Amino acid sequence: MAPPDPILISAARRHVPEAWETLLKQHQLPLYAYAAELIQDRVAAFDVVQETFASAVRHIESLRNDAKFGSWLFGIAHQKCVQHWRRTRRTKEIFSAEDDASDDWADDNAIDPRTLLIRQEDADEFFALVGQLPVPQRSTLLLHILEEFSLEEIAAVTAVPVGTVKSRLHHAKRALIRLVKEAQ
Amino acid sequence: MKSPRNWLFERHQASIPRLDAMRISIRPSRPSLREFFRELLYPHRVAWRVLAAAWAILVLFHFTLGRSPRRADPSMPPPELLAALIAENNFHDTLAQNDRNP
Repeated sequence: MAPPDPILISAARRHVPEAWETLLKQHQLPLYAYAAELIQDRVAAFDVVQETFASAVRHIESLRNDAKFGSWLFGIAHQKCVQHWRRTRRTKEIFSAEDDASDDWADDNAIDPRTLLIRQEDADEFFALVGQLPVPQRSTLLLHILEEFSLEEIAAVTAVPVGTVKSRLHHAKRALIRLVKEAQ
Repeated sequence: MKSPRNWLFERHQASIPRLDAMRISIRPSRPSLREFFRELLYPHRVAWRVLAAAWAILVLFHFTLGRSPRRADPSMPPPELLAALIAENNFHDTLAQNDRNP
Protein backbone atom coordinates (compact mmCIF):
# COMPACT_ATOMS: atom_id res chain seq x y z
CA MET A 1 0.00 0.00 0.00
CA ALA A 2 1.30 3.48 -0.88
CA PRO A 3 2.42 5.63 2.04
CA PRO A 4 -0.41 7.80 3.32
CA ASP A 5 -0.74 11.42 2.35
CA PRO A 6 1.25 13.51 4.90
CA ILE A 7 -1.51 16.13 4.83
CA LEU A 8 -4.01 13.46 5.88
CA ILE A 9 -1.83 12.33 8.77
CA SER A 10 -1.28 15.90 9.81
CA ALA A 11 -5.05 16.49 9.80
CA ALA A 12 -5.58 13.24 11.73
CA ARG A 13 -3.16 14.51 14.37
CA ARG A 14 -5.43 17.55 14.71
CA HIS A 15 -8.41 15.16 15.15
CA VAL A 16 -10.10 16.17 11.89
CA PRO A 17 -12.92 13.58 11.42
CA GLU A 18 -12.67 13.52 7.59
CA ALA A 19 -8.98 12.65 7.74
CA TRP A 20 -9.67 9.72 10.05
CA GLU A 21 -12.58 8.62 7.87
CA THR A 22 -10.27 8.40 4.83
CA LEU A 23 -7.37 6.75 6.66
CA LEU A 24 -9.48 4.12 8.39
CA LYS A 25 -11.41 3.36 5.20
CA GLN A 26 -8.12 2.71 3.41
CA HIS A 27 -6.99 0.26 6.06
CA GLN A 28 -10.18 -1.37 7.34
CA LEU A 29 -10.26 -4.34 4.96
CA PRO A 30 -6.54 -5.26 5.19
CA LEU A 31 -6.76 -4.93 8.99
CA TYR A 32 -9.84 -7.10 9.17
CA ALA A 33 -8.38 -9.70 6.79
CA TYR A 34 -5.21 -9.81 8.88
CA ALA A 35 -7.06 -10.21 12.18
CA ALA A 36 -9.58 -12.73 10.81
CA GLU A 37 -6.92 -14.94 9.21
CA LEU A 38 -4.58 -14.64 12.17
CA ILE A 39 -7.00 -15.43 14.99
CA GLN A 40 -9.24 -17.60 12.77
CA ASP A 41 -12.33 -16.02 14.25
CA ARG A 42 -14.29 -13.65 12.05
CA VAL A 43 -16.51 -12.34 14.85
CA ALA A 44 -13.60 -11.59 17.20
CA ALA A 45 -11.78 -9.95 14.26
CA PHE A 46 -14.46 -7.22 14.20
CA ASP A 47 -13.71 -6.48 17.86
CA VAL A 48 -10.00 -6.36 17.08
CA VAL A 49 -10.58 -3.86 14.27
CA GLN A 50 -12.87 -1.70 16.38
CA GLU A 51 -10.39 -1.63 19.27
CA THR A 52 -7.60 -0.84 16.80
CA PHE A 53 -9.54 2.10 15.36
CA ALA A 54 -10.34 3.49 18.80
CA SER A 55 -6.78 3.05 20.01
CA ALA A 56 -5.31 4.66 16.88
CA VAL A 57 -7.53 7.72 17.23
CA ARG A 58 -6.71 8.04 20.92
CA HIS A 59 -2.95 7.55 20.58
CA ILE A 60 -2.11 9.23 17.28
CA GLU A 61 0.51 11.30 19.16
CA SER A 62 2.56 8.13 19.62
CA LEU A 63 3.05 7.84 15.83
CA ARG A 64 6.63 9.04 15.34
CA ASN A 65 7.06 8.62 11.59
CA ASP A 66 4.06 9.66 9.48
CA ALA A 67 5.24 7.50 6.56
CA LYS A 68 4.90 4.43 8.80
CA PHE A 69 1.21 4.98 9.58
CA GLY A 70 0.27 1.62 8.03
CA SER A 71 2.75 -0.46 10.02
CA TRP A 72 1.90 1.54 13.17
CA LEU A 73 -1.78 0.67 12.68
CA PHE A 74 -1.00 -3.01 12.05
CA GLY A 75 1.21 -2.97 15.16
CA ILE A 76 -1.81 -1.90 17.21
CA ALA A 77 -3.97 -4.59 15.55
CA HIS A 78 -1.31 -7.22 16.24
CA GLN A 79 -1.24 -6.25 19.92
CA LYS A 80 -5.04 -6.46 20.03
CA CYS A 81 -4.83 -10.00 18.58
CA VAL A 82 -2.31 -10.94 21.29
CA GLN A 83 -4.66 -9.45 23.90
CA HIS A 84 -7.49 -11.52 22.41
CA TRP A 85 -5.40 -14.68 22.91
CA ARG A 86 -4.54 -13.61 26.44
CA ARG A 87 -8.23 -13.25 27.17
CA THR A 88 -8.88 -16.70 25.76
CA ARG A 89 -5.75 -18.00 27.56
CA ARG A 90 -4.26 -19.49 24.45
CA THR A 91 -1.13 -17.33 24.25
CA LYS A 92 1.30 -19.91 25.57
CA GLU A 93 -0.10 -22.70 23.45
CA ILE A 94 -0.01 -20.52 20.32
CA PHE A 95 3.43 -19.02 20.72
CA SER A 96 5.08 -22.22 21.87
CA ALA A 97 4.37 -23.58 18.41
CA GLU A 98 7.09 -21.33 17.04
CA ASP A 99 10.11 -22.91 15.45
CA ASP A 100 12.93 -20.41 15.18
CA ALA A 101 15.67 -22.92 14.49
CA SER A 102 18.13 -21.33 12.11
CA ASP A 103 18.34 -22.77 8.67
CA ASP A 104 19.98 -22.10 5.36
CA TRP A 105 18.06 -19.22 3.78
CA ALA A 106 19.81 -19.45 0.42
CA ASP A 107 16.59 -20.47 -1.33
CA ASP A 108 14.60 -17.71 0.35
CA ASN A 109 13.76 -15.99 -2.92
CA ALA A 110 12.95 -19.22 -4.68
CA ILE A 111 9.26 -18.75 -3.89
CA ASP A 112 7.45 -15.52 -3.20
CA PRO A 113 3.87 -16.06 -2.03
CA ARG A 114 3.00 -12.52 -3.09
CA THR A 115 3.59 -13.32 -6.75
CA LEU A 116 1.70 -16.61 -6.74
CA LEU A 117 -1.37 -16.70 -8.92
CA ILE A 118 -4.10 -18.90 -7.56
CA ARG A 119 -7.21 -20.22 -9.24
CA GLN A 120 -10.54 -19.68 -7.54
CA GLU A 121 -10.94 -23.38 -6.74
CA ASP A 122 -7.52 -23.40 -5.04
CA ALA A 123 -7.90 -20.18 -3.02
CA ASP A 124 -9.82 -21.70 -0.11
CA GLU A 125 -7.37 -24.57 0.07
CA PHE A 126 -4.44 -22.14 0.02
CA PHE A 127 -5.81 -20.15 2.96
CA ALA A 128 -6.69 -23.34 4.82
CA LEU A 129 -3.01 -24.25 4.52
CA VAL A 130 -1.98 -20.78 5.72
CA GLY A 131 -4.31 -21.32 8.67
CA GLN A 132 -2.39 -24.47 9.58
CA LEU A 133 0.88 -22.58 9.98
CA PRO A 134 2.07 -21.79 13.52
CA VAL A 135 0.75 -18.36 14.52
CA PRO A 136 4.07 -16.43 14.43
CA GLN A 137 4.77 -17.70 10.90
CA ARG A 138 1.18 -17.08 9.83
CA SER A 139 1.33 -13.53 11.13
CA THR A 140 4.59 -12.80 9.31
CA LEU A 141 3.34 -14.34 6.08
CA LEU A 142 0.04 -12.44 6.20
CA LEU A 143 1.81 -9.12 6.72
CA HIS A 144 4.14 -10.00 3.86
CA ILE A 145 1.27 -10.87 1.54
CA LEU A 146 -1.25 -8.22 2.59
CA GLU A 147 0.76 -5.05 2.90
CA GLU A 148 4.10 -5.97 1.34
CA PHE A 149 5.79 -4.67 4.48
CA SER A 150 9.58 -4.78 4.61
CA LEU A 151 11.26 -7.14 7.09
CA GLU A 152 11.96 -4.13 9.33
CA GLU A 153 8.30 -3.08 9.25
CA ILE A 154 7.11 -6.62 10.06
CA ALA A 155 9.63 -6.67 12.91
CA ALA A 156 8.16 -3.40 14.21
CA VAL A 157 4.58 -4.67 13.88
CA THR A 158 5.23 -7.98 15.65
CA ALA A 159 7.80 -6.54 18.11
CA VAL A 160 10.53 -9.08 17.33
CA PRO A 161 14.06 -8.71 15.86
CA VAL A 162 14.50 -8.62 12.07
CA GLY A 163 16.39 -11.94 12.20
CA THR A 164 13.36 -13.61 13.75
CA VAL A 165 11.11 -12.21 11.01
CA LYS A 166 13.49 -13.58 8.36
CA SER A 167 13.45 -16.96 10.02
CA ARG A 168 9.66 -17.00 10.38
CA LEU A 169 9.12 -16.01 6.76
CA HIS A 170 11.55 -18.63 5.59
CA HIS A 171 9.87 -21.34 7.67
CA ALA A 172 6.41 -20.18 6.57
CA LYS A 173 7.36 -20.49 2.90
CA ARG A 174 8.89 -23.92 3.43
CA ALA A 175 5.91 -25.09 5.45
CA LEU A 176 3.57 -23.86 2.72
CA ILE A 177 5.48 -25.80 0.08
CA ARG A 178 5.40 -28.90 2.30
CA LEU A 179 1.67 -28.53 2.96
CA VAL A 180 0.95 -28.05 -0.76
CA LYS A 181 2.91 -31.20 -1.57
CA GLU A 182 1.09 -33.14 1.14
CA ALA A 183 -2.27 -31.88 -0.10
CA GLN A 184 -1.57 -33.00 -3.70
CA MET B 1 -6.14 -16.29 -11.40
CA LYS B 2 -5.46 -13.80 -8.63
CA SER B 3 -2.73 -13.06 -6.13
CA PRO B 4 -3.17 -14.21 -2.50
CA ARG B 5 -3.68 -10.56 -1.52
CA ASN B 6 -6.62 -10.19 -3.89
CA TRP B 7 -8.11 -13.51 -2.77
CA LEU B 8 -7.78 -12.40 0.86
CA PHE B 9 -9.72 -9.24 0.15
CA GLU B 10 -12.33 -11.19 -1.77
CA ARG B 11 -12.72 -13.68 1.09
CA HIS B 12 -13.55 -10.83 3.46
CA GLN B 13 -15.54 -8.61 1.10
CA ALA B 14 -18.75 -9.40 2.99
CA SER B 15 -17.36 -7.73 6.11
CA ILE B 16 -17.22 -4.27 4.48
CA PRO B 17 -20.73 -3.02 5.48
CA ARG B 18 -20.08 -3.87 9.13
CA LEU B 19 -16.61 -2.31 8.96
CA ASP B 20 -18.12 0.85 7.43
CA ALA B 21 -20.63 1.10 10.27
CA MET B 22 -17.87 0.54 12.80
CA ARG B 23 -15.68 3.21 11.22
CA ILE B 24 -18.48 5.77 11.21
CA SER B 25 -19.08 5.14 14.92
CA ILE B 26 -15.51 6.21 15.70
CA ARG B 27 -15.66 9.92 16.46
CA PRO B 28 -12.27 11.50 16.82
CA SER B 29 -12.25 14.27 19.38
CA ARG B 30 -9.62 16.29 21.11
CA PRO B 31 -8.50 14.55 24.30
CA SER B 32 -9.79 15.97 27.57
CA LEU B 33 -7.36 17.64 29.97
CA ARG B 34 -7.27 14.46 32.03
CA GLU B 35 -6.51 12.31 28.97
CA PHE B 36 -3.89 14.84 27.86
CA PHE B 37 -2.02 14.56 31.16
CA ARG B 38 -2.42 10.80 31.24
CA GLU B 39 -0.93 10.52 27.75
CA LEU B 40 1.81 12.98 28.70
CA LEU B 41 2.78 11.14 31.87
CA TYR B 42 1.89 7.51 31.18
CA PRO B 43 4.34 6.70 28.36
CA HIS B 44 7.25 8.04 30.44
CA ARG B 45 6.23 6.68 33.81
CA VAL B 46 9.69 5.22 34.53
CA ALA B 47 11.31 8.59 33.85
CA TRP B 48 8.75 10.33 36.07
CA ARG B 49 9.36 7.82 38.87
CA VAL B 50 13.14 8.34 38.65
CA LEU B 51 12.62 12.10 38.71
CA ALA B 52 10.29 11.83 41.72
CA ALA B 53 12.81 9.61 43.54
CA ALA B 54 15.60 12.12 42.81
CA TRP B 55 13.48 14.94 44.24
CA ALA B 56 12.64 12.86 47.32
CA ILE B 57 16.35 12.24 47.92
CA LEU B 58 17.10 15.95 47.49
CA VAL B 59 14.37 16.92 49.97
CA LEU B 60 15.63 14.30 52.43
CA PHE B 61 19.18 15.64 52.15
CA HIS B 62 17.94 19.19 52.56
CA PHE B 63 16.22 18.45 55.87
CA THR B 64 18.93 16.10 57.15
CA LEU B 65 21.77 18.54 56.44
CA GLY B 66 19.70 21.53 57.58
CA ARG B 67 19.73 20.23 61.18
CA SER B 68 23.45 19.52 61.33
CA PRO B 69 25.77 22.24 62.78
CA ARG B 70 26.70 24.72 60.11
CA ARG B 71 30.25 25.72 59.47
CA ALA B 72 31.20 28.89 61.38
CA ASP B 73 31.32 32.15 59.49
CA PRO B 74 35.06 32.81 58.86
CA SER B 75 34.57 36.57 59.48
CA MET B 76 33.31 35.88 63.06
CA PRO B 77 35.79 35.39 65.98
CA PRO B 78 36.02 31.89 67.47
CA PRO B 79 33.30 31.14 70.08
CA GLU B 80 35.85 31.01 72.97
CA LEU B 81 37.14 34.51 72.16
CA LEU B 82 33.60 35.77 71.78
CA ALA B 83 32.70 34.37 75.23
CA ALA B 84 35.81 36.00 76.74
CA LEU B 85 34.95 39.35 75.15
CA ILE B 86 31.39 39.17 76.48
CA ALA B 87 32.68 38.27 79.96
CA GLU B 88 35.14 41.20 79.85
CA ASN B 89 32.39 43.52 78.68
CA ASN B 90 30.17 42.39 81.57
CA PHE B 91 33.07 42.90 83.99
CA HIS B 92 33.55 46.49 82.74
CA ASP B 93 29.82 47.15 83.10
CA THR B 94 29.92 45.87 86.68
CA LEU B 95 32.93 48.09 87.48
CA ALA B 96 31.25 51.13 85.94
CA GLN B 97 28.09 50.42 87.96
CA ASN B 98 30.15 50.14 91.17
CA ASP B 99 31.84 53.49 90.39
CA ARG B 100 28.44 55.17 90.03
CA ASN B 101 27.10 53.60 93.29
CA PRO B 102 30.02 53.51 95.76
